[in-house]
Amino acid sequence: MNKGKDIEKYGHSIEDNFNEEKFFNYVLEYCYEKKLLDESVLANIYYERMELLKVQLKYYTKDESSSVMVELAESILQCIDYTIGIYLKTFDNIEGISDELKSNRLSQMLKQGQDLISEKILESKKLLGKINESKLKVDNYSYNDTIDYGIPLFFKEYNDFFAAHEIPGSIDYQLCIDNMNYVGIEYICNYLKILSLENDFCNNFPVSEINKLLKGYDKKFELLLINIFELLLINCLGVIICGKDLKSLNISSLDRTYIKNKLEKLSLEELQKELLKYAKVCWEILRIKDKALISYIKKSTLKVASLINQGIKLNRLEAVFISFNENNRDETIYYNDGDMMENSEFKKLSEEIRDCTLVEDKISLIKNNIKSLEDLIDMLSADCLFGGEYITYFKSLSHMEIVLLDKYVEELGFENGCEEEWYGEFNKYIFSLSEKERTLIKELEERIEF
Amino acid sequence: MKDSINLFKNNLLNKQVSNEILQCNEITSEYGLKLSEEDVREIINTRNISLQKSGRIEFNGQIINKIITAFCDSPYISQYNYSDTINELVEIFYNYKNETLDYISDDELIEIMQEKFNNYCQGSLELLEGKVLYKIADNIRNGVRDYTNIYSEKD
Repeated sequence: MNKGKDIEKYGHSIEDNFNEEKFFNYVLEYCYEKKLLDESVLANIYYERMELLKVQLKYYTKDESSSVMVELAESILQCIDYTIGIYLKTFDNIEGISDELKSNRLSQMLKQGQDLISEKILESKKLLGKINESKLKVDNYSYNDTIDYGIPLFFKEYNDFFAAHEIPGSIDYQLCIDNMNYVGIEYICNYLKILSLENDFCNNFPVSEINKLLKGYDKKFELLLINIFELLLINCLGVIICGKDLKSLNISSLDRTYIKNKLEKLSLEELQKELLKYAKVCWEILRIKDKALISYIKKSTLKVASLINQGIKLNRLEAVFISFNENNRDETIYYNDGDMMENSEFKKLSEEIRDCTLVEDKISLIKNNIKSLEDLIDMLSADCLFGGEYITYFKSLSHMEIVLLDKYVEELGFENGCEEEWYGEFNKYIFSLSEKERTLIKELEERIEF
Repeated sequence: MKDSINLFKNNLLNKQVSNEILQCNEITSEYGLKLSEEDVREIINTRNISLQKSGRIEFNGQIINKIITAFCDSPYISQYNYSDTINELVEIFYNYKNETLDYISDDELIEIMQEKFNNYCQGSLELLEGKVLYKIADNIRNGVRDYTNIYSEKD
């Protein structure tokens, strides 16, 4: 997020290929091209760099081994370059860097880089503490897991002496705008700064509203890799475009039509300008004064502008501006299966059923005695019913029973089910139903969880 | 990246290592062993090839000296097989640095090689490489605590 500032610092010509990770190497190349460093200085730097590598390798092997795998030496050399790069980034211009390279020893720069890394670790730990305090009470797994386990794991595993350029830990939660150009502690520090800004923004809204928004986005939002800030910002912009109060973030289909009519004639650039105006209204209403957050909202607005633009073009704004699910149509139905019968009991019952001559008697025996889906599947597979009797039985089942049976067979891995006679008959029965009934069954099935 | 690491291929450093190895002749002459300049060049060449083959990089040129001083008093080495044996030992050393997963130090590996070469293997390099060190590396990979015990059974 500080990239813009950094680029200005090092001049326009660095901008295109600016590389945060290999800053030191990049600076050497750049200085050589611009004749700020001559070959003898570069040769000296190269020699010192190799000497530093030897020293670090001695530390690494505790001076017990005189050779290491090439990959390890490469990784430690990368760490040295990265650490020196962190120190060199503290200079304001390229001339300052080249003077430093000419006059100071690399080992000194490495030491100063290590000190800076230690400071950044402390700063990042403080940021994590702040994020823990401002953490949103939402059930998104990636969000909670990254804050609770992934980032603390980074601090536990991070080796600033031999692998400062690596990012251990597990960061699954995606930011709205992340700078993947950074590595090591710089990445984490930047990630935490942005996450903290995102949290600050989201905390302007009641958590119930955020949860409703996420549920509206997808009923399985817990499992998705989404960015909460981005969804919230888009709906905020939508609410402001419609001239409504930010207390409710719901965007109805009427609102979407209004938004579409208002924005559809704008080009992407015009749309970006227009959205920036609404974003300004948004931070003013929310009384946001933090300049870093305002700048982040601006950048994010420019990013979401292209999403909104696409949504308008494809006429799919419902996927961009989200409606809350106010009714219970999508609520999950939890099914608890009944107790299974004892084997001996089951054997007795199946024999009784087989002895029945009338299908009605069989059905009443099944209905009165079998209380669990597992028993029912066992019974259907136990040659208790034959041919047309299956269809008669399925017809006697209620709508919900059919839904449960179908869902159970499909989802709970009914192995070799297709070979069973009853399964074929059951499919025949399902296909004999009208299209509308089948759709209803499928809809209900999606809401059921075992 | 690999090209950027060039710790030891410098001619000047090679010369320095070569001189250090030649200086070992002072110690080994007591046992009737001597390396010519040609032998030393060959040994350094073997070391470079072994390092390359095992994907390793060396940042300190002391290994050959350590191997020479550890093995010079072996009853199984005479001037007749001295240079060839050192060449083979250097190759075995780097190979087993990898095979033992860098778990044991240079000095310990040389000590194990020297002890087994003089006793169990009775001067057989084939036995040292193909059986003894193979078993020790296997022990290390399997987490056997007493890894130098070549008679140990897998749990």
